Amino acid sequence: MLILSSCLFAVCLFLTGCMHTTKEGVSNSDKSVKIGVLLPLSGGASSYGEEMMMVLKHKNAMLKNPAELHFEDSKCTASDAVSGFQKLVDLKSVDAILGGFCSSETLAIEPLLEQNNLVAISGTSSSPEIEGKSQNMMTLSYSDNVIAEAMAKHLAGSKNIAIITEQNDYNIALKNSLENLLGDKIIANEVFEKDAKDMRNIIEKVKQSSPDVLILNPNIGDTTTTLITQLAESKDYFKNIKLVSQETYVADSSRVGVEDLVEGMVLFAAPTLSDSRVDSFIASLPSSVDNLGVFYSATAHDALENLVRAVQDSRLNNTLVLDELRNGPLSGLVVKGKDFAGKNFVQGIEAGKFVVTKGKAVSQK
Amino acid sequence: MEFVLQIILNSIVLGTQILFLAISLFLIKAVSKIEHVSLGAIGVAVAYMFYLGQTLHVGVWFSVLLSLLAATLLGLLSYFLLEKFCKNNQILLALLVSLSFGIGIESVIALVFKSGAKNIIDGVLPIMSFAGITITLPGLYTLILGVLLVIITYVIVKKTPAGRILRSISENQSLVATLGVNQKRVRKMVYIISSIIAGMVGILLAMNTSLTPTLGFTYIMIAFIALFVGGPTDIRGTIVASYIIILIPEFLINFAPANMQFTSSYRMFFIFVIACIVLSIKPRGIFSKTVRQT
Repeated sequence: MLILSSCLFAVCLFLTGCMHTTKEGVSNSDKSVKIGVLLPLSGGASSYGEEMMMVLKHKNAMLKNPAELHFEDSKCTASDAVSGFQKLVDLKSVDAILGGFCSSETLAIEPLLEQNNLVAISGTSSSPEIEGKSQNMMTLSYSDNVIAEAMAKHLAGSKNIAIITEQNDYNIALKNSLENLLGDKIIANEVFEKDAKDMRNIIEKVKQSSPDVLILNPNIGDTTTTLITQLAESKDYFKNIKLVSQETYVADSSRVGVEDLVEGMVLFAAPTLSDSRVDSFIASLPSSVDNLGVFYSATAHDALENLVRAVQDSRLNNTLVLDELRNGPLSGLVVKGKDFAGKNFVQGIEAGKFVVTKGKAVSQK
Repeated sequence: MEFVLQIILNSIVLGTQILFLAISLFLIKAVSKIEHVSLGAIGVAVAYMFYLGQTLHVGVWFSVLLSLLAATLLGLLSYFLLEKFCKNNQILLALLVSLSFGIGIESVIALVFKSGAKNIIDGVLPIMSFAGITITLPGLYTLILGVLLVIITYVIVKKTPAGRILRSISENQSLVATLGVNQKRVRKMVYIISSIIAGMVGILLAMNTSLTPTLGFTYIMIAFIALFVGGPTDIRGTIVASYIIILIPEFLINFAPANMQFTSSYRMFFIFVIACIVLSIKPRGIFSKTVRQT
């Protein structure tokens, strides 16, 4: 009797174990992928964050198996990105992270990724400091070094160059790259505090150095318009100086009211995408992406697509999400067929060049 | 030479903006011993009311009226929040409540108006030029109103019966109470007046740059430092310190040898260094005065 009972108990245990395993196996592959998204939804860069949120929601709805998207406001600051990351990991138990948006956010969460066995893909972060960091951190943007090299090439014949930079990871990284490439040609190199409101003394100091070229290097957001508007107070002086800048002045809204001053301004930024799939995706969006732009809307699309696919594949094949992303070619609008080649930046993206003409940033082929 | 004068002029405008807030802090400190640090947020809230009036196209005077109303309400609210701490001499607790009140105001502004920058004057600001030196029109208004504020405050505090009451409350509240002075009424008035002054600078700041919910925080911190560097018991100290803590850092940033590579991002560092040096030498501030403790 005792032997019979023991056998029955063992059979019950075995069957229970089998049922449990089967149930877990099914639920694990079937349950939706949870993606934690870090975006600046308040603060100076919120207009970019809101547009990217719209792009991601739209792309997610287009997926065969839509993911659960959990958004946290990272405010384009390191500290908020870290607290947002912790919320996503601890409270939402996300499978992967899409972000950070700004480089400062991406650099801040990077040490936490391996600790939490998570991967993150940013669609926008471009600071060269990201290169060489954890393999769990990837970005689909080009590196700022690419922008700095394009700027330096454009300014090869210029001497007396002045730079005005915002104290922010992205901008400081670009400034450092420019310093390396332009060297002694830089005669004034001013840095202003993050989110500064009054830049008039900096502008006076730059004027005092009599530059031939002025590189404007503010972060996206309110300081972009503040700087150009206060520069326009000395329009008579600066209209004879060649203005060069980066991504922040590509959006037409960043140059409103200063059209005379910025006419002819040269911008080095994300490349123009000429692909019917990109055009059709942008056209399908419920509202415009005037601030985020086409390139970063497309990299946001790609980041989500690749992350969701990698998590789903890893569940089916019992592989690591990181290996899925690192070893296979990527899919999407911008990064289709590209890979990381062991780096943190996706390889093979070049800078775009624009010239402001009649109030519009016109792409130069 | 033009460069030097331009830097000095720009710094004086900035110093005057600090002065407005420092005087507001001084007045409240004088009657209640409380450092009312939410004045920065109050100033910004008043500026948002002005901005609201402008966007609703109700005219400048109605916008001013709306701003005055907001300043009065926030002044009264501050009084009711902080009065019991003043009575019980719980200064540190009052500072904490004031800070929380300020953060609360900023959050409400961000919720209502969103956190993106707003401009009271769109586009490039009108400029006045004189002998190669330029100043924005709101900058000029700041200077003129700043001079008027200094004169009026100085005369009221030093030369009028109301000023004598103010100073006597700050020096010996118990004695003043025995003389039948209605201290509560005085404090209520001072809170309202300080909020109006903070609102004025909020509007001027927003006109000269742009308006964001957290605009007041940096300025109130500098004004707070100016108050203590100058000595919180003497209005002259507040006036002088407001300019010192702006002019010295700007001189170091703009005129130090190039190899020192001081940029504007050093400004707050220099301000705190000045505060440390002055307060370690004169803990009661530049215009220190021994006050009888009651």
